Amino acid sequence: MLEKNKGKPTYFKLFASTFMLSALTIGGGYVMISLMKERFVDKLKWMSTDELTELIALGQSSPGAMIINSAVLMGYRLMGFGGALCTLFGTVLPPLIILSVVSVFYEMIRDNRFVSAAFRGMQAGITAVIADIVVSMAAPYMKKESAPYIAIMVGAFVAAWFFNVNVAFVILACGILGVLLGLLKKKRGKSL
Amino acid sequence: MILLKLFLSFCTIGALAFGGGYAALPLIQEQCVELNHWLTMSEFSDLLTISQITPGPIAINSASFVGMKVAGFAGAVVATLGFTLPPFIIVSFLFWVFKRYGELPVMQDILSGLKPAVVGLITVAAVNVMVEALWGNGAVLLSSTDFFAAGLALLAFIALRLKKIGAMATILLCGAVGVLWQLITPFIV
Repeated sequence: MLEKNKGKPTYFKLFASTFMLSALTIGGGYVMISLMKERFVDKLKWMSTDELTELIALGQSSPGAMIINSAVLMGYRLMGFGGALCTLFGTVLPPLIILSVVSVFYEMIRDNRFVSAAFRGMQAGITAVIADIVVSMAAPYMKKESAPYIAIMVGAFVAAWFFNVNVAFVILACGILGVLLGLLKKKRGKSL
Repeated sequence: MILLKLFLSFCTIGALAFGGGYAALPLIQEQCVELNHWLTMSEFSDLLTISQITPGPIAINSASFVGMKVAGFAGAVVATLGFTLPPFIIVSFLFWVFKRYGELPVMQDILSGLKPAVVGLITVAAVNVMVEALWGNGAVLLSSTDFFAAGLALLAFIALRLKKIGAMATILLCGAVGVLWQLITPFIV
């Protein structure tokens, strides 16, 4: 754990933080991951990037929306079942409320020229934000002894992007590869 | 018993949607368009457009949109709860397993395989958005590249890397630049 905890997590802080992040996150789950990293890792220092990646990995292995699963796991990790409920409702309420309102007059929004112009610009921003989190998360692997894990990273990308393999299968295969690599490591002694 | 029907339909989607939002789309289409006729195909594609410009996971957006249309706000709440319940139970179980057996070497090995995979999968999302931003629905060719979007994305990336700006500010600022660009292009082109 990190020694410098900036304030202890409370139910209210968990709910309020995830509510804010969820309300502002346009561009899908991975943008929210970037925001969660900024807030919970960089600013509040409640967990490390590695722990966050771990939670996302678990969240990705369950059905449902990856980001809700990851937020729930983060709630559990920080404050148990009550924390999980706080992050669940914090993540779910904003889209529920916004969509309920928008569904009434969506045609106006859909066909608005400025909305689509703003959306085009935002997509460029979203590209940058997700690329940034990829660089942050990949950085720890950029050393020689991590070569097999870099191979997993590239393999997962190739499978999902070029071959459209379902994410669930990619996760399953990479979990198995992780175990095999572990066995190989044990056989060869410490280094790999 | 339309509320119960909504709840159960979205429970099914939530329980079967392995692999994230885009994996859930065919399930949503099947439940909402084909089986229950809550949406027409064109409303379904509207829903996809709206999901892109509003916050939140696409499945939650769908649940709220469909629920609202079929049974008002109560419908939206019930459908959303239905979608979140099965994953919540599964994730709770996973967390319990992880807490209890997380220290076991085999669990650590599994995670050591999953973590780089997650980075690879996030890269997929990055490339997807990039293609959408730079080429729209057209072919990925140099001549059809949207250089405005490419330049904006590059600038934003540099600013983010230098820690000059937060993620949300970046996205909002880029949106504002997009609107500004729309306003001034008639005068310079």
